[in-house]
Amino acid sequence: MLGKLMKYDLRSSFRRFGPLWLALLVLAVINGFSMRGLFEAAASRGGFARLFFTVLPPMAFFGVGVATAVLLIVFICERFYKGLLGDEGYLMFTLPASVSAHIGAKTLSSLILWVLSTVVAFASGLLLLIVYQPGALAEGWRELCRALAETQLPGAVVWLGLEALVLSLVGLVAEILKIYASIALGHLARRHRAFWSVMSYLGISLLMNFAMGFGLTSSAATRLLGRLNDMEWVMAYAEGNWMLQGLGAAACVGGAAILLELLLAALYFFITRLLLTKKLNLE
Amino acid sequence: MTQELVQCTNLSRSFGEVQALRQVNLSLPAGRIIGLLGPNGSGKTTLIKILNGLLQPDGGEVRIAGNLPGVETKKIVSYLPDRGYFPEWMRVGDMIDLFADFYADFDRVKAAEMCASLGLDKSMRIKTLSKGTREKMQLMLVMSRRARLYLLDEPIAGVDPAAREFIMRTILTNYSEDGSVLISTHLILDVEQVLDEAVFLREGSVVLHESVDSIRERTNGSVDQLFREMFRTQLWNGGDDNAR
Repeated sequence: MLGKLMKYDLRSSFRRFGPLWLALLVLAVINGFSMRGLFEAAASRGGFARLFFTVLPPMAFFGVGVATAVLLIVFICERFYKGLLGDEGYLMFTLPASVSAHIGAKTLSSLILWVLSTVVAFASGLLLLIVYQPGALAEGWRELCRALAETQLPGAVVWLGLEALVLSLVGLVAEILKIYASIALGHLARRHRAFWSVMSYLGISLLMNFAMGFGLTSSAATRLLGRLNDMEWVMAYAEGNWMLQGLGAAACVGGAAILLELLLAALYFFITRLLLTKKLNLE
Repeated sequence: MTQELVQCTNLSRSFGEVQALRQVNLSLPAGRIIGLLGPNGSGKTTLIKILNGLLQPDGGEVRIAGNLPGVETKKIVSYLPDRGYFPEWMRVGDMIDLFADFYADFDRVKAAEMCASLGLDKSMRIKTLSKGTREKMQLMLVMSRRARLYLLDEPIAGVDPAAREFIMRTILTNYSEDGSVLISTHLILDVEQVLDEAVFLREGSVVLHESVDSIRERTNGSVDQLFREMFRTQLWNGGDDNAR
């Protein structure tokens, strides 16, 4: 059921974002040519031609990039609010799918949309570079491979890279679910639901910041950090002092951050699920 | 013995100060066409939404084929809401695919036949359809299922008499005969001929649940006449205490 729900969600998403992604890639190519000076002759004429070939492309590229980022956040909110709590909710909530499947499908679709938008943004940068200096990218890649071959990278660096990737994905899921939980809380209000959703988001964020600050300075956290001191892979004895082992400590903190984001994601998921199960009110 | 398909027990729901449903106890059998009749604001839509799991009751419970509203009941309930629920970007064919994807009891052949009789083409964009055509399309989707319970919320409200006739004919010729149909409306005359049972709701309470034959026999009149008598609005007499 999750897959079927995602299929319709993703189709709706791609219809909206496909043209934007395409525009971003096309504008990257135009900007590449513009930067190579291929339009210099036209630009040297001044007036409209100069504006058209040198000023507009970077502005349009930047504008479409910003619009994609803003639309992404608005779209994620809108798909949840209109798709489940607006008129479309009459269709979605009468399908034989559980509330968990609905929330899961919306979350995974938003995650996929976000990741793809990031990939397209990255690809447009690469495309611009390829058009601007066709040989530079290949040369850069060769340099990178050579440097990696010469450097003995400790396994911990690879581990850290993986951790960073997982942390950003899990953090993104937690953030999306926080938005959903806020909208579900705002939906409890009889009027001005959008306003109360924003207030809920701010409230949850403040509460979590407070809880984190309190948790990190609590005696339990201090005791935990004290135990880390005893672990040689986090701390090393050198020159008469205990020194922090950078990579080990970073890996440890990264792991804890992933765990924390997972817990937060689970918390937001269950708040949303509870509200949509027990307090659903499609008026 | 008649098997009960829907069982409401002490069902209550309020919205702020307004009590929309008050301790509703109601049993609906299988294989019947039942009219849920009452004036505007009597609680018809609230009851139907609770049956669909779109609203939660404050008290009491409802069971459909023995289950609380949930995934299992949604497999056997076909619901026509009192508003359009289509995603604007879809085409007629997309909605048919969606229903076929999610409902095992959806009949594509029947949907194609109904589309042909309605003049609907699968490639039509929903946002280009008129309000009336969208309503007919929604009805086509709902009635193309071989459901055990059809919940139709005001299917003939806001349409002209010719369209009402078309809608009622569509319902009658397409519902699964071993299923039950619950039609909520305040336009009794247009549905009376097809009803087996009538449920009258007033201010959130069931004030009558009787077979249509029994009503006619007992009152020597129609369901519409009885409805008018029971729900006749008191004329305002200008605030004159002596006026009687």
